[in-house]
Amino acid sequence: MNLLKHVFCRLQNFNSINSINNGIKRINQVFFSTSQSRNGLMEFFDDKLNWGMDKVSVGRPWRVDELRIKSNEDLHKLWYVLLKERNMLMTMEEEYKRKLRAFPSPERIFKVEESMENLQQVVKERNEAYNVLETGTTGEHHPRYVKNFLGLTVLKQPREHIIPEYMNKKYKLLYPNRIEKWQVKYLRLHREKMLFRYRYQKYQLRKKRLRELKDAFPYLADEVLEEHVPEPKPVEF
Amino acid sequence: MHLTRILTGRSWIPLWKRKIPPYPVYVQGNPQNRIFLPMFWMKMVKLELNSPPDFVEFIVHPQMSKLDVKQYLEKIYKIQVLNVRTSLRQGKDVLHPSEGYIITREDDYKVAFVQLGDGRTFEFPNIFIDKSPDEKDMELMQKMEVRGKKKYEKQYDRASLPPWFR
Repeated sequence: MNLLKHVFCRLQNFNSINSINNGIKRINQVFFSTSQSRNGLMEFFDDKLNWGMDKVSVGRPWRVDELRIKSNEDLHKLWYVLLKERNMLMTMEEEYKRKLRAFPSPERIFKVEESMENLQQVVKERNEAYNVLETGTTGEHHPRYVKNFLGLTVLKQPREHIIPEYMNKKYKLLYPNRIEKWQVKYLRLHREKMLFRYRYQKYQLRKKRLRELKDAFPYLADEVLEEHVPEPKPVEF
Repeated sequence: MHLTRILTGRSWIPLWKRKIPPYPVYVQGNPQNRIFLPMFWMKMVKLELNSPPDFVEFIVHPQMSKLDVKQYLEKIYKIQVLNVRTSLRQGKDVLHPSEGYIITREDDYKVAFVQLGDGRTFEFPNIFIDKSPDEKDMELMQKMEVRGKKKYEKQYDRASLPPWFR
């Protein structure tokens, strides 16, 4: 019954006689007179009562705590209600724009989108919890670091494959994930090169900073300069 | 505002503008991957030109394919679809009001032309009874433009001459 909250909010104009306080009564009434009869392509348009109005009063978006109580089936149904609602609002906005008029209460789109995002969050939480319970992992595939045939570490994105990695000859040649004896010499040289590069970058940055300071304050003492821009510490191998 | 989340900031993009997340990597032995919460959207637009009554035009999510459009309408809206054509369109240039150079360009979009099946027809509803003052002004401006163009076309062979001599 709560599922129809969004539809119900739009239908407030139908039951304008009812006061705001008797909420339960009104929900029951709406439950028996939903907008489900309005099918087909006219679902892309708002109710005829709202056409050309200056303001359309609606409720608030769904919150995360409210959605956490709902079952999966209910969430699945609610998603499609929200999807249709957003499509409707977008068509109406486009039509108003075409006719050079102001779209009444445009915050409706934000509200629907927020409830959609909240719903996605809840589904994600449940999915994660289920995976942790069943497999001990969250089930998300993240990129991982692997050592390739040169002994260098590279970031590898997960991909679908028919043959598993430990049985795939080509994969094992490309990414053996270990260091050979002959690679040690070259890896050390590579590391040295990288360290030199890092040091050179630091040196260049310091030079630039000093130059800027000198331009701004030409009579600065060297001690003050060293305080503000200290010499970088030597990197150990 | 009723919004509980802060919507300002550079990183926030509305949900309808976001890219569709990639399909999760399939691991052998798992059940078949299915989409339970589609993020696609469609909005109906009025056809500009006169067309057969069973044609409907939509602006759709740019990642949607023809099959997606068809299944979206058939499964969610329960509408029989005979044929779908799609085309990508470039956004219009936004010109500077006085200087006339291009400031920005609007986003590109995808259009889907749907032919309804089952012998059904659809007429785009007329939402506004009266014309707004802005609309009247716009129509007048367009009329003036057409008139000016026709005038120029008449004197096209004498365009190089000064206007008092034409």
